[in-house]
Amino acid sequence: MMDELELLKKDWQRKGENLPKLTYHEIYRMLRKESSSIVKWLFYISLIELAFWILLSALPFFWKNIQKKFNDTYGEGDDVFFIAFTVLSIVIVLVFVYYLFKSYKAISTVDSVKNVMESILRTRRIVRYYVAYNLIMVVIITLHTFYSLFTHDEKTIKLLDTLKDNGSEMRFWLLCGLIVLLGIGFMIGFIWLFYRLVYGILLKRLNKNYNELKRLEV
Amino acid sequence: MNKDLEHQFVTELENNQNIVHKVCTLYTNNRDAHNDLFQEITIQLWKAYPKFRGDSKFSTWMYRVALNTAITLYRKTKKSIPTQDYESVIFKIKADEYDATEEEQLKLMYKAVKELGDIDKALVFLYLEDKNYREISDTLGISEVNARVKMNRIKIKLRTILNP
Repeated sequence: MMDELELLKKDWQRKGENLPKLTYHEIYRMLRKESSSIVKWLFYISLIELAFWILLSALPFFWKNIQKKFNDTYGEGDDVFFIAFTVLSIVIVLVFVYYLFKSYKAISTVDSVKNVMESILRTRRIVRYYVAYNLIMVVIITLHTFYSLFTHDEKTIKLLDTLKDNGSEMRFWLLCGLIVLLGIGFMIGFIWLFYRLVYGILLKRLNKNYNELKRLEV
Repeated sequence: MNKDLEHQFVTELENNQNIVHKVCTLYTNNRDAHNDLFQEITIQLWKAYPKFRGDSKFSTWMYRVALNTAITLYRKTKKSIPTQDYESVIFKIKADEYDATEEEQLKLMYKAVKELGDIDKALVFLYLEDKNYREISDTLGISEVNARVKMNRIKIKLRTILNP
């Protein structure tokens, strides 16, 4: 039996005359058009993400009340800690921005198909690390705020004393723990769902094709 | 300077546009999507053009950018429904050149190729373009042996589609 693909190949190479033919000007006009590639989408989404988390962590600075409350709660002595913490966060953001741009630059369409997929996935991974970092920070800050509330805030300490006298202290702790856990769980769940949706839609095809190439190498 | 580069690029692409059209034909199902993908590939080619040193042929270089765009970068804007008119124009078979069974076979084969996955299509495309396994494996980023194995599997797949 003759190789069917050879038959197809012969026909394929004759196909030229049936293909559309664009003029010089039609092609020229295309150079002015905007790309709508997934790399561009990824880029915009990660910029939005960066902006979102930077704004969120910068919010307390703009809120005089929060800052005042912060100082009241922690006292002047903790200022050094606060400044060091802020500087560290900024450094970490800058490191992420640097790696993000570096990995975008590394995506080159001249590379092999597999390499292009890998460099896109690498970029995506950096954004994911950045989000994970932020989530961990949110959890730490939440826990720390609760801790200082119970050790520094006079009103809360007074409330605790009354509860202790009542004998309902245990129940109070359980309730507090439950609220914190639910709050954190809800937030992480929400963000996770959001990510599944955005990146799931955007990278579904890429993941499928990448896995197929990967399977080949095993 | 930039104008010169633009002119040079558009001229080269105009002369080699068949390669891009063939990729678009394989990866899209209607004329709108075809033009859309052609435009995206053109933009990506133009973006990468400054990196094109001329140490390889313009056409060789185009294969990679075109396939990368079609497989990975391109986002289908709308659900594409194959239209009869488009299929028959692109895969028009001249009746007087083939006997009936061959014509029927070719039609079935094109249909079968279009139903393959993105990666399989790329392999078949490069094969039909008469690329050797070295070039195929370089373009896809897999080993030569694996390219051969994969190609054989595709051949078997196509054969079973043709002779159920």
